Amino acid sequence: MAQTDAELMLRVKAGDAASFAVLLERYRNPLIHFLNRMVQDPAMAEELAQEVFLRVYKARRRYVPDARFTTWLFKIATNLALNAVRDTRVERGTSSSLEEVEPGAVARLRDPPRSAEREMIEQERVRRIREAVTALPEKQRVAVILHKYHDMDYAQIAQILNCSTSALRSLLFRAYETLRERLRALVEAEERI
Amino acid sequence: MNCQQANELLIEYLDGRLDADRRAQVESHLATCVACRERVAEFRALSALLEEWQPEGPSPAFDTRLAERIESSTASWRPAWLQPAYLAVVAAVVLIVVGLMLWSRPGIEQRSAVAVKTTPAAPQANVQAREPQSELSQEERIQLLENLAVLENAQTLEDLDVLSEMGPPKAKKKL
Repeated sequence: MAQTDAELMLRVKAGDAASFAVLLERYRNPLIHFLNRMVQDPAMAEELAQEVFLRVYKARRRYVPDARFTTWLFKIATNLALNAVRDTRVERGTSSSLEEVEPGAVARLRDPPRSAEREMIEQERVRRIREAVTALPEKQRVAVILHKYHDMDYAQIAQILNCSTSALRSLLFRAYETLRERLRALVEAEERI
Repeated sequence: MNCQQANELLIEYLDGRLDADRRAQVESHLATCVACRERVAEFRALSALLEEWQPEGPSPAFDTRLAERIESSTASWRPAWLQPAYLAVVAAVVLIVVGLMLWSRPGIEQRSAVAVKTTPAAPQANVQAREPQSELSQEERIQLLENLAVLENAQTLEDLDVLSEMGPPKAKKKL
């Protein structure tokens, strides 16, 4: 039977490096996906994920299983990601870190193969989704990413965001309402499928 | 249930996380409200659309780099000579050396001999034996205190790092 995160972390606390490797295997990908969606920069996401695991390892001796391990893990990740996003915005002096599609790029491709065309359309859809999520206020963005892509329950997300579950309920509704408006054309196309 | 009350529960309704009672209330509202029904349909489509965003995973070197960072971090964090195993050995050696030094001091032998005898000269000999022992004890005490300070500083540094990671002990209740 698989060990729980708390059991593994208590073993790490007792000096068992192998248990840390199990936790790393379990949460490496989800954490990097989360950070990638938050900062929109694979290199930065990987760097931040390293920092999260490093902090968890350093704090192992103080670990007390009074909250879910993932709440702690994603709380560290959220704080690091939000700080990184703020720093990046200050450095770039812009409100978005997204790259723009070069104007005329589609026109230059004369009679592209169907697969390439389809790929471009899909990339454009994803770009618009990313932009819409990125444009959400910080807390709404974190809430949507944790809810949609990490299947976290409300209590856990509320703990990570330091808010009540009822506040989170409103936060998520507003976020999805905003996304529905911003992505209306894509949503309507999706409905027709 | 009105639209506003229904809206508060729509996301949980779509997640299938509502209990039977509240789910029935939402469905009862949806049966009579076209606007909310449309919103539910659009939220479903939005959820499917968001699935298309799949970011990159970790690089193949992720684990190796992390292991290196942990190693270098813990090495810089606490020098090798301050590792618990080293400290235990050092402490044991210090205790043995101190014990041997105290045991081999002439004054100690004299005091032992005097303690056995009950001659009138015994009080004077005893005083002579105590003086060098007292000087040695003070040196050793200082040395031990210095070692203790190093140990405590190392632990304090470690605690600072850990405390900075733990954050505030309790989460706030409201936004």
